Amino acid sequence: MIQIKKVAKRFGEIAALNGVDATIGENCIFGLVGTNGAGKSTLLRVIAGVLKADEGQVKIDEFPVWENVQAKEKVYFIPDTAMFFPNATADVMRDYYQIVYPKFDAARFDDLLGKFELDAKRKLSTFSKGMKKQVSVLLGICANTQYLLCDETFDGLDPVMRQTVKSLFASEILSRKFTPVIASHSLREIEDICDYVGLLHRGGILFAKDLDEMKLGIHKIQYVIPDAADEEALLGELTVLQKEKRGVAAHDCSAWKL
Amino acid sequence: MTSKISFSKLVRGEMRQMNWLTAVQMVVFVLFLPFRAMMSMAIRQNELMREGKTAYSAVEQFGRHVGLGHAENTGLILVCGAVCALTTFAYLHSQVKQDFYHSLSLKREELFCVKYLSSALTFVVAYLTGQVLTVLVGLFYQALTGQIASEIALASVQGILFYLCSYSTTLVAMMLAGNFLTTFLAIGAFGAYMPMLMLLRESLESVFLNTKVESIFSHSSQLRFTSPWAWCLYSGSRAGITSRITGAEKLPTAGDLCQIIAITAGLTLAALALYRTRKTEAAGSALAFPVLEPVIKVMVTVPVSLVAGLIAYELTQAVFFEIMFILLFGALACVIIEFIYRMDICQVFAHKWQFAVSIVIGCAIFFTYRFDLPGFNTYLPTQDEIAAMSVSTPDFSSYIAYGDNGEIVYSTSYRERLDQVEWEAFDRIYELAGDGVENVKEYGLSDAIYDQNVNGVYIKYHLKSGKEVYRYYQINRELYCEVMNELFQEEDFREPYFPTCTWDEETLNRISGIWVYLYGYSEETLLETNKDTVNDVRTEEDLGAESEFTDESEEEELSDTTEDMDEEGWYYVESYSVLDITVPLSRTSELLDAYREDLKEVSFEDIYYSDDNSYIYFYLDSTYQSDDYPVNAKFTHTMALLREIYQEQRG
Repeated sequence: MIQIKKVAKRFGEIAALNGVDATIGENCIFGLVGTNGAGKSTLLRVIAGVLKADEGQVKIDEFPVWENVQAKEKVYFIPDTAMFFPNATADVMRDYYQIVYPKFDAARFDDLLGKFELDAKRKLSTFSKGMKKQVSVLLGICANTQYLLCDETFDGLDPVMRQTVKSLFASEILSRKFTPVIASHSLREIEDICDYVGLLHRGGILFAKDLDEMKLGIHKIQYVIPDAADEEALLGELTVLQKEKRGVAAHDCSAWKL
Repeated sequence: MTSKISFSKLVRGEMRQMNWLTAVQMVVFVLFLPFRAMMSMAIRQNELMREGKTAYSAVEQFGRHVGLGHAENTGLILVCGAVCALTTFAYLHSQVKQDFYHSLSLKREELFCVKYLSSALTFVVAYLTGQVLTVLVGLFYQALTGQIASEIALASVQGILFYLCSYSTTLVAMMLAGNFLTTFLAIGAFGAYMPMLMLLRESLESVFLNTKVESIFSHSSQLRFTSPWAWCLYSGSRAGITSRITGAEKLPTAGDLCQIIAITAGLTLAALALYRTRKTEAAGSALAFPVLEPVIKVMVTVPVSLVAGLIAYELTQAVFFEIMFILLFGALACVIIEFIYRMDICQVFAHKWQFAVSIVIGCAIFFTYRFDLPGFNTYLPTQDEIAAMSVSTPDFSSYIAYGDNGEIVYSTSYRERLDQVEWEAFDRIYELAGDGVENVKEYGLSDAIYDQNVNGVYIKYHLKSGKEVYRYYQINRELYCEVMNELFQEEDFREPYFPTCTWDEETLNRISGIWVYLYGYSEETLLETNKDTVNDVRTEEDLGAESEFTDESEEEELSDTTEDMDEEGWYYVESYSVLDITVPLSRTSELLDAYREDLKEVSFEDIYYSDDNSYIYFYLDSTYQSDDYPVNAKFTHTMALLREIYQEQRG
């Protein structure tokens, strides 16, 4: 389980994360959705132990993640832009990952490379963006860590590949303890695979819910209430996530409900 | 808990990623070590075949090109250290690479060690391969002795230590910087900031503190304290078999190696500490620690403004322009630094208070020197404060004396020479100092002082408080000669200026050679010892220097001489001659007795301001360190003895 408690991170005057609280359970696919600049990548970096939170703490299975190998060995982070050694091939990266991830499954990696029709001997620098993404996802899956943090991983993958990767995630969850955390700016991109979704907005998590429950529980209501007192009474009975008013007078209102 | 990742496997894995670095270093060291040795041996063999003889034996030739004391090898090793650090830790400046490395289940110190060790091993493999191949070259040419082999081994250890020192220094610079531009600037600052600061201080003092004795650069060995690279270059250049061939054996001691180890360890720990505290998000920004921004800005702007002030002084000597230059160049430096920090032209005028602080500090330092606010040049303690004084000038040329511990020391430093001739009855020396201070007050920094009949004189005040103060004054020459003539009457005062004359028997045995050069003398003039017949051998420099001291009639004579100057400014000196005599060591005591006897009879002016001054050189041990004492026709006993020795040698 990943516990995120009041995590704050500032870059100069910009508050990238502002008291984020969330819990990511085991053996589920967690989607982290938010607009550009919402703090998704920063949160993943903090969870991966790349960045140190200014305030708050991230724990992985009860172990604080910062400079703690017990926590970090359970996590594999696939950043938005993957790093490969200069002139490296998939084989070279596999050999290196075998060293840095002791549970790395080289045979499976070779097998998956074949299935994805990726040439193990070809220089990764000659691969397209999508192919590089595929290699980094395969490396991440074969690293056999409990948590896989994917930052905009589905960006650049074609629909077929996207579906294949989603299937891979699903089969991994069935076969072992595996919890992918997928950050994306598009809910639609991940709604078909995620069990839970966290909505990140301006550095803070608005909510984290089971996706199905969320689909059922959130409604958009548009209404016109001329009397302000009636409106207040109605709003008091609802949990309002976002409210928007239109028109010169208080005639047109709309609300999101959870 | 430590990582489950195998440390050794990870080091090997990292090394595999740096195979190119190993290969490049291998090529470089093979060229610089075995290939160079092989070429030198081949050239020697070729010379042997063509001419039948060579300047050096095979062992000497081989020894000259291997082992310790090769500054070019040291320089190359230091460059390798810097390049390896830059390439290995380049990930610090890349967000993408940091995402990768810092997400591994490794603590930062573990990752640091892996990177450090793997990179160092690329060097060790390449360098030791070069050294081993060098040994094989020596074996092939049958030029390898046990001594050379052990020196190659010692050079290898020293080389690795130099590499690690350079590597760690570069790492500290990298840890402080956030991108490559600032890294290179930081490396440059680590290497050059302190020497530049010393140079600036020296410039300010030489311009404004004209009574200061000796520059800091007169002790060039002190430059080694200015940066780790300077330390390595100094250590690496002062040892080796080449120096042993010339007789000065200087192998690095365990202490030398320990110093390098201590410096390297300190720098490595500093780099590690910075790495642990450095924020990941610093990648790409100018500095990893923004708190350093104002400090660095001030540290750069102040010296720049001082240089600007100095230039303005040299050009205009007007306070208005000096302030303008300080302001202008200080502002320029601030703008450039701010641009490097932000890479945004719109923000170059930000943080004006930092500019203001820099300018205030710059102006304060500059005008403190400019107007000698501490009163350095006009310093004159009261006589009650003084325990002893000493006086020296370039005229005195004794360099060898007993040191504090009774051992023989050789020094060209005026400070050390003044230390050897302290005099407690200093009233008359104080009079000289007073004249010097009056001249400073009257002429200040003006060159007009040199139009007067003055002599440059070094004076030391040994205060009762134990403080020692050294000054260089321009003193009226008449007063100077009058005082010195009087003081030279005292044997106790005079003796320290001619230390060889007072050496004991045991020390005299260390004299390895006595050569006498009689300038302007020929065989005839020596044998006649007629001063009037001694030829004028004064050079242009001598004439120039002497013209300061000559009266009108002498100047007329000199002007006749200058008529012999050709179009290119060279003087023709007619009947130029130098008579050299090698005095047998068996006659050392005899010569010194004669010289001592003469010293009692001649005056200070007779010794140092005679037209026919020549010199006796006493060489010590097997070195080229010598004491040279003036001799001229007025040294009747000495000249008589020299004549006798000369006649004996001529048969």
